Amino acid sequence: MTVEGRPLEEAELIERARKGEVMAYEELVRRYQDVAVRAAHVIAPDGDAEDAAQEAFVKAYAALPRFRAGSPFRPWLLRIVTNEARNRRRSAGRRTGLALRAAEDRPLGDAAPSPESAVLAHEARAALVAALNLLRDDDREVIGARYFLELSEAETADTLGIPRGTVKSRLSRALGRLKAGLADGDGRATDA
Amino acid sequence: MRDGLELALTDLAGAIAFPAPSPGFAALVRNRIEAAPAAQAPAWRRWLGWTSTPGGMRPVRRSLLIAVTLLLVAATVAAAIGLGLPGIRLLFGPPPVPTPIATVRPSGPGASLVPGATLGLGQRVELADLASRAAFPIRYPTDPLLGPPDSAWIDSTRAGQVSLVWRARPDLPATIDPSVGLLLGQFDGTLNEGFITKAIDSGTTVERVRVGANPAFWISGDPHFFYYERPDGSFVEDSRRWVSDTLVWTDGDTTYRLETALGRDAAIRIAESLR
Repeated sequence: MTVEGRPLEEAELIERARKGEVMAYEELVRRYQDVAVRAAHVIAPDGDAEDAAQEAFVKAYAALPRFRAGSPFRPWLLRIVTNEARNRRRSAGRRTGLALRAAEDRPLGDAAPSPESAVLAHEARAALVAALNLLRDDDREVIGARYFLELSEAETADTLGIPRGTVKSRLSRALGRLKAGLADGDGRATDA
Repeated sequence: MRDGLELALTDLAGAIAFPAPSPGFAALVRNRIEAAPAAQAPAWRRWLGWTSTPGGMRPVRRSLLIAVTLLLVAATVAAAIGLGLPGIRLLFGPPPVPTPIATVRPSGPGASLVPGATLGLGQRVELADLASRAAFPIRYPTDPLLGPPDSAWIDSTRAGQVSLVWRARPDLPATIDPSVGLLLGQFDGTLNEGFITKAIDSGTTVERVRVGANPAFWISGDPHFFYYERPDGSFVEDSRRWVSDTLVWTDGDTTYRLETALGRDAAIRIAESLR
């Protein structure tokens, strides 16, 4: 969406959406749909992330009047995505967790590794994912927010609904448990 | 300075099979919003006073919006009306999703005898344990017709909502669920600090009544649908099936929902007997 060729600023889009301009909101959805779906997958890897994110966007639209003008939109939105995904996670029975992409799906531009190093890298990543999947939900959430969603500490706190002052310590403990899980060799994490 | 594990996690971000939104994702969201304007439009919410916008709405603008909204309400069936009950808002219009029917059957010896077991009310709790398990004080009807409830439930997935169920019997006619004669839901208003929205089919009628000194609403007719919204934007959907005509009121920090086939006056009498 543009006005006189100028892309609308986020604040302007939000203000228009608050006034009921659904097209303005659609533009906001387009800007944040990737991170929203990714966040839903981090929170509830076994759920339908796209469906959860879509539901969250609909709910966020309804909640827009309570969005504080001038505050960051992304963590506010991701908090709603998180809540939606957590609700779905609670009702999901099975637990398989995060998975690696097929090797051929690596992003373009990556240097083609030798077959041997590719196998080793894949095995290392597989062990890391396995250890991650054995972590408690709150550990996996904070790690996912920081490393997979690349959120700042403040954004992580807002997204996960935890005090800002505890993100660092919670992340540190989660990494400690992940390390312990990796050290087990079979990817079985232990409670610290 | 990132250590090896942190670097490995950063690398892993590009290797995880994250789903990507489908090409029509944003348009689908827009379609859904436009398909349910009464339940979703922020303008309605501003009119209803649900906004937490700093500074709020200017009085002139609010008056204009109220006038326009009243015209819309008169002109359309699926219009929204805020009924002003503290902690609760009701919406008229088709439910945003079809009212689900609970299909999970209870298991175990005698489970089918527990009234309310098929309604998806959460986890069954012994009455003796209810006070310690619930997150807020529970009140019971003292009306001599009822006696103690036959089952009690806490739903941790819906903000700790408590449900008390009385079995259907000759003096307590069955609701749509033949095992249930009366259902009393209780939810902590202060926990949510927001509102409860109830989307109602156009065949539903709502009557203003009172429970003691508190405003209340008697909702009868077609099925209705509840969901709560918290200030942080999270929603708690009460997707269990409805069982009967409903009396809704708020008293202090708690909101109550009483469903019975006894009729309005008996429902109010029972509601006023809560202690």
